[in-house]
Amino acid sequence: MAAEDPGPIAFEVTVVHVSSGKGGVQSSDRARRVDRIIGPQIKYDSLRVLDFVRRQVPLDQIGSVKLPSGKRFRFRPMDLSDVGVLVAVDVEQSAQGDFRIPRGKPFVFGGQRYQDGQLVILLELDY
Amino acid sequence: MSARDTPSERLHAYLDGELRGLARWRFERRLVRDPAMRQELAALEETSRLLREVEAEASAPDLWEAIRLRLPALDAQRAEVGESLAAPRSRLWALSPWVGVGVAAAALALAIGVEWGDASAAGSVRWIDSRGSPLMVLQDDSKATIIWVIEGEPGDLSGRSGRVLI
Repeated sequence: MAAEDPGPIAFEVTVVHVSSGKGGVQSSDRARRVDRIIGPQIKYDSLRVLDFVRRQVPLDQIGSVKLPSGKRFRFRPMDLSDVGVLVAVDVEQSAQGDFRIPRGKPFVFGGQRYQDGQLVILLELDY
Repeated sequence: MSARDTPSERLHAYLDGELRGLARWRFERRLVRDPAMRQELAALEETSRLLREVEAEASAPDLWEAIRLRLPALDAQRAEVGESLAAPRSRLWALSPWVGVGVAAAALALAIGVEWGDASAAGSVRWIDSRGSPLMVLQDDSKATIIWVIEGEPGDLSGRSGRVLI
């Protein structure tokens, strides 16, 4: 029996810049939320949200977001279950891997150099 | 990997960490649907485990210590970190240098290719390949998964607060 097609999966991608420069955390709900997520693990003096996109991606298809650095962030949902979505992630010229992303739990990838700091990418389910 | 590969050959390739990208996720999807293949995989893993045990018993400890002393410091450090990775089915594929840092993160992996054979209920990481750059799993619990790749000069990674300093 063929598995039921779950249809496109909704993702949110947030692209953030953190640095040791002045500026603090950008005054927006989204920036403050990102700060709450990554602040305990990463020390920075400035945090700005550079981009926020939503993508509807069917299983085994590729979602792609162009980063400010010119590189691409790609992700492919591979399997959907009650414990989340198994997603293959590829950050161009940086890293790739497979991650199980449950609902309400952000996947954060950081470290790509950009301007005077680093880019941080948050991938989350949007449903 | 050619189109003529049998399921058994793919199974061995998967077990050896030779399946990557599209081939790997296709195989894993099939694995999810095929109980017989899962059973075969479990049997192969058990065989592999027994072989490793036999090999370990066959190696005289004093010989290993003698070899280990001749390894570069980074290799020794890598072995120590590798031993501390808790998941029993964890497997290291690549042998690129590991870099020790003093980040007191809950979960820390400095590796080029690391596979978590069986992610915990809270953990999300299945495998990561950072293409030669040191990489840290700063957090992988029920709240978030935070992966950090260190490009170029790493800056201060031994923050007093146990955090990565930008």
